[in-house]
Amino acid sequence: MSEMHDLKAKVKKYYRFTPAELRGLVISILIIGFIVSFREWGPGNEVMLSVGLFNWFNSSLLAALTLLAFISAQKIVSLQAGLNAEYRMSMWALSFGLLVAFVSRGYIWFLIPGGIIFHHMAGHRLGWYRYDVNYFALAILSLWGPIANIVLAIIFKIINGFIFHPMFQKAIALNLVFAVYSILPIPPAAGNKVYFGSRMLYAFSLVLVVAAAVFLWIDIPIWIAIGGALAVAVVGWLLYYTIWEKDMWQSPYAKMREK
Amino acid sequence: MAFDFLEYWGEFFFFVVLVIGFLLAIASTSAMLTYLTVIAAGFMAGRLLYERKGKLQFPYVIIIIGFMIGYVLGAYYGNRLITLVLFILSIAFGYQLLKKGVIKDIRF
Repeated sequence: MSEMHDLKAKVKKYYRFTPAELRGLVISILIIGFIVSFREWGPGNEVMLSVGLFNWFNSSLLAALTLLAFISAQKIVSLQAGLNAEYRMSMWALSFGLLVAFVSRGYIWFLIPGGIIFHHMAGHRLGWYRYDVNYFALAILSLWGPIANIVLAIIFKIINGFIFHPMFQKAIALNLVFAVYSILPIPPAAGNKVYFGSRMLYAFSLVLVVAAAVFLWIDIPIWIAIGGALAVAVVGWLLYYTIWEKDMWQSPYAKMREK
Repeated sequence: MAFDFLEYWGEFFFFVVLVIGFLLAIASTSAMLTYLTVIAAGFMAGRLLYERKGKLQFPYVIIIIGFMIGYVLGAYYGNRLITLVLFILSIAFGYQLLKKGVIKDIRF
C-alpha cells in the first residue's frame, strides 16, 4: 500500500512533459495522423481538402491517444522504478514513415515516431538492488509501452462491441499496428531496449504482442484472444529457447574462445 | 557449402538493399516521388557513412552502392542520371549537415 502512495506522489511531482517533449509529441502526432489518414483525402484518387483535413484531424486525435497511452505507461512505471522517462522524437524514423506512406500510397503504415530515454533519479533509486540504470530494467520498463497499446485496443474492442463505430475500428487497428511496430528491435522503438535487455524476454514479448494483435483483430471473443496470445507466447518462448538460445552457449564466439 | 553470414554479411545486404531499392523505385508513381525518395535515401546513407566515420566503412559503401544500383534500375519515372546525381549529392549533403551539427542524431 505504501508503494502505491509513493508512486502517486512521484506521479504528482514528476509526471510532466518538457517543452522539447511536447514539441516532439505534437509533430509525431500530426505525422502519424497524416500517415493513418493518407487514404482518406477524398473518394478514389480525388483529393478534397475539407474531407482530408477532417480525417487528418480525427486520425491525429487517435494518434494522440495512442502515443500518450504508450508514453504515459512507460513514464509511470519508470517513476515506480526510480527512473525518469523522456520521449524523444526521431526525425529520421518519421521521415521514413512519411516516405513509406507516399510510396505505398498509404497502404503501409510505418509507425515508429521516436523513442524513450531513461534518466536516473539518484535519490529515488536508493535501496534498489541494482542501483544503476541497467539493461534488464530498461527492457521491462520499455515493454510497458506496447502492453499499454494492447490494453487500449482491448478497451476499444469492448466499447466497439456495444457501440459500433468506424472510429473505434480505426483506433483498434492503430493501437495494434503501433504495438507491433514498437516491439520491433529497431533502435528508436521500445523493442530495441527489450531485445538488448534479455533475448528470452524479447522472444516472449514479440510473440505475445504479434499474437495479441492478430487475435484481437480477427473476430473472436476477447478472453480467447488474450488467453490464446499468452499460450502462443509461451510456446514461442519455449521454441526459441530449445531451437536457438540453448545452443548459444556453444556459439561461434564460445568455440573461438575454446581454440 | 554453407553460406557464412558473419564473413559475407556485406555482400548479403548488398543484394537485400538492391532488391529493396528496386522495389521502392518501381513503387514510385511519379518523377517527383522518385526524386524525393532518392533524396531521403541519400540522407539516410549519408547518416550511415557519418555514423561509420573512423570505423569499418567499406561494407557499408558496398551496401549503399547496392541500393543505388537497385534504385536506378527500377526508376521508371524520372531521369536515371538525375536520380543518380541526386542520390550522390544528398549523401554528401546529409553527411555535411551531420558533420556541421545542423542535424543532430539521438542515441536511443
